[in-house]
Amino acid sequence: MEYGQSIVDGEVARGQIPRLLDIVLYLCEKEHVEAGMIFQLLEDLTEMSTMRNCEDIFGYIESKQDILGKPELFARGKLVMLRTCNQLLRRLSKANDVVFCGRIIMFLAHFFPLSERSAVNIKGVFNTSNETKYEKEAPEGISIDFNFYKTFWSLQEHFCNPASLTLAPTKWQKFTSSLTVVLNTFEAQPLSDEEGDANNIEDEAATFSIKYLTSSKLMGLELKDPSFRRHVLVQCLILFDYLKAPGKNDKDSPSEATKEEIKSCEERVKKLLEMTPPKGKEFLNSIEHILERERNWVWWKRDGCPPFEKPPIEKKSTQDGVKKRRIRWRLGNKELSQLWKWADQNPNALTDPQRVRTPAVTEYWKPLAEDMDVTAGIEAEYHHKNNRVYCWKGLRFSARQDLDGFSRFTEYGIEGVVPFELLPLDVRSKYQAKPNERSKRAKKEEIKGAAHQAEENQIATPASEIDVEGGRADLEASAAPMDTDAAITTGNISHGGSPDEQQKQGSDTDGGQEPGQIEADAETEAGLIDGEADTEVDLDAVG
Amino acid sequence: MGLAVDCRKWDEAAYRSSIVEERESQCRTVFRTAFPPSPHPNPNPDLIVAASSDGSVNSYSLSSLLFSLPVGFGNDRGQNLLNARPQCFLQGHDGPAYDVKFCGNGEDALLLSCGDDGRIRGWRWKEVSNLEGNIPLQGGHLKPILDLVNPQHKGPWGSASPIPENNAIAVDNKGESVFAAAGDSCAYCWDVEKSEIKMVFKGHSDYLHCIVARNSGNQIITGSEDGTARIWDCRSGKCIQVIDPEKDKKLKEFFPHVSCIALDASESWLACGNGRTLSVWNLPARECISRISTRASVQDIVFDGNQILAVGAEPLLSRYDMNGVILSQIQCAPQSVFSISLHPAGVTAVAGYGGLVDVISQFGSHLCSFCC
Repeated sequence: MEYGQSIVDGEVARGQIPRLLDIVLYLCEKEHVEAGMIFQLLEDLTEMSTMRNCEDIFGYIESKQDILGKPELFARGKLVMLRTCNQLLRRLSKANDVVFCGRIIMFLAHFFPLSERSAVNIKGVFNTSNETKYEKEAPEGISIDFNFYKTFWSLQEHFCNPASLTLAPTKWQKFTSSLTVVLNTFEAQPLSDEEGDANNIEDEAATFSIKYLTSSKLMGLELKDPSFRRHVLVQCLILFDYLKAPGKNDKDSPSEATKEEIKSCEERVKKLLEMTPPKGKEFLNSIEHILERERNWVWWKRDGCPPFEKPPIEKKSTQDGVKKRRIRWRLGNKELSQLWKWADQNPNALTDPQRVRTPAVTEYWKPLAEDMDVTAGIEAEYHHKNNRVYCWKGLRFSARQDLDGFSRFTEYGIEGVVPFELLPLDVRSKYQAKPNERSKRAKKEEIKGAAHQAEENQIATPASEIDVEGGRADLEASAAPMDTDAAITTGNISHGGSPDEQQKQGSDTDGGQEPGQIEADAETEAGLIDGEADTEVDLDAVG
Repeated sequence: MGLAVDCRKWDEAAYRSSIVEERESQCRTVFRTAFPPSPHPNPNPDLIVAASSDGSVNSYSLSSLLFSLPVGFGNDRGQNLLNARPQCFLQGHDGPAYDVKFCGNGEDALLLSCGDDGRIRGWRWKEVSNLEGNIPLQGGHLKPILDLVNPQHKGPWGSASPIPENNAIAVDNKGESVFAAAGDSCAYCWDVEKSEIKMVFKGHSDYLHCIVARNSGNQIITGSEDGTARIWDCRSGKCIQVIDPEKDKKLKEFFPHVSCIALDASESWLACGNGRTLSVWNLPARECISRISTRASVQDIVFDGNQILAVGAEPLLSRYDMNGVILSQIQCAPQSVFSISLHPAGVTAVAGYGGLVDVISQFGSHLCSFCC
């Protein structure tokens, strides 16, 4: 009861109430008591307090906005809070308590989500009570164009309630004729920069008023005021925007002729805004931007105020799709892109001891050399020279590392490329004969050799054919015709290499190559025949 | 047509004259308008006097014109214009009336007009305005209290030249003298009291278009067809200065004449329209300050504070500052504008082809347009 007593003690009590509120708020937050209690308490408190105390209570509400806004509390108390605030606003004077009113409205804007339905004016109702009164009778003894005065201010009636324009065509006609008069007058008297500056300073000097006064005596001054002009012109733009917005059903939307009128008027208004002095162009841009946003709001409301948060699943899938596509397009396909990135992702790849390097030629040719060793007795089927990929790779290596060995390919075929040191002595000698002699001899034996080939050189010829075809396929696949490829094809000229290649080769080599190869094959055969005659026959039969 | 033809009592002569009348009214031109002096500067001008090509000098009441207009009508240009009935009708001259001016103030104000017949006529404005409410045509019988005729030049064997026409008149501020720009390339200074010529200003080589009085220096300035403007001393009748706006230009324009001149309130600035240029002169310094090129030839100019209002052979009222920058251009009813007059309250009246008078309010809106 200690607290209860101190509440009664006037002065101290005021300091105590926030503490009590704190306690209730804590209990609500921890769900020890019903969550709506704090809101109920605050409402009751504001209802029984004077306006001055209400300001303190509202200060408390503002300070606890974060806690009050927590979902579990907010869900229970939002309606109560809305009611409390609206009650407060109703009690406040709109003229004298502008700051407090503003605070309450700011709080509401922060406290409630943007899409809170009670605040969006879902039907787009206009505040038709905002009526602009003006003089209906010409005053005595004052020289003004009273017709113009009336025409000018009668526009406000339409700005105040744009919906009325769409209903009655006569009203629309009256509006357009009045607007034309006003725009003509504005256009006839463009404001200079000086006038703009002079009047602008006046405007800034805290003489802000909510509405312009409509006294006919002020008309002349107002027409010279650029900000006054701007207000009217912006009103026009807002009205046009409303008229252009599609209605709920088709019959609401304006006719084509009306649309044309709106369009021409709008262009004139925009031009006038651009002409109106202090920074007319910038002003117009900002206004257009703002109106664009307003249009978005209208559309949003028209679509039934869909929530702004997108469901996460949908979001993810769309994002992924975008990502994939983007990477694929960067370097043609995923593999290439990964290759491109590889270096960046593995900066140590070059120094890695585990790194795969180009094997030395001697290492690489070892399997073939072993096959070539007659003593090993490898069957032709498993001979490495029948492996096209192996041969092709080997030739590339040799071309880089062992040019001497590589050059022997033209004479001896794939087996000639194998480094000597890998071969047993007897095999080695075969590939060390003088090339020139051989080529001469070869010519004479060409026909015979061909016949030979058909019958006996089963191992060599098909191999070279396959080899060559493989080579050609590779050649076609690879971008640049390299030496290796050319060398591979040389053996196949009689089988129909492309004319380009034939020209490149030159007739000399052309004559020499094939016979040389054939002979080499023949000789190889001579050595091989003993051991492999049976197999050859078998192969033949199979082939 | 609006002509009711009654074939029972067919009067061909009347029919013919009615057609001629209508044709004439369509091709009428208003050469000058003037607002009568009013004791208070603030109220809107109510009456406006127009001198037109049929020799009439009529006054019109704006308020009754506005009253007869449908609401909002005065603002729409180019629609069927109101055929205004004059408040008061004066048959001023035989042949066109070229200029109309008010002389003096208040009760004693005189309405002066001049025309092609070489006369200057004056009426007491009070009497004219008191005719209000009467049948308009009655004013035609009102006797002028002043009737001045330009002298004829004597030729050999007693022959006399035709009476030279008066193209413009100016009044000094004391109301004693009237200056007339005449067609015999002379300017005359008339004594209003004695109705006799006080001074003849000779020197221009061609007829005069315009004349203004520079009261502060007891001088007048005239503009002539010969392409120059001259400043005259009224005491000696000598030419003090010849202003030749074309002097600096190599090529003379097709119409080099000085068609209009205007003085500002301080009487130290002179605007001079010749052909399609408008030049502004500082009189104390005797220097041309700016030269403005216009699209159409300038036909009348007037100073409004330190701004210049100019009209010409196009339906536009242009407002320039002293440096020649266009401040505004207001579309107006007459296709070619001959006269511009400014009321102290800021209302401007322009008049020209078709007998059209367009009254523009200080807002730049069309107060009313009517056809004389």
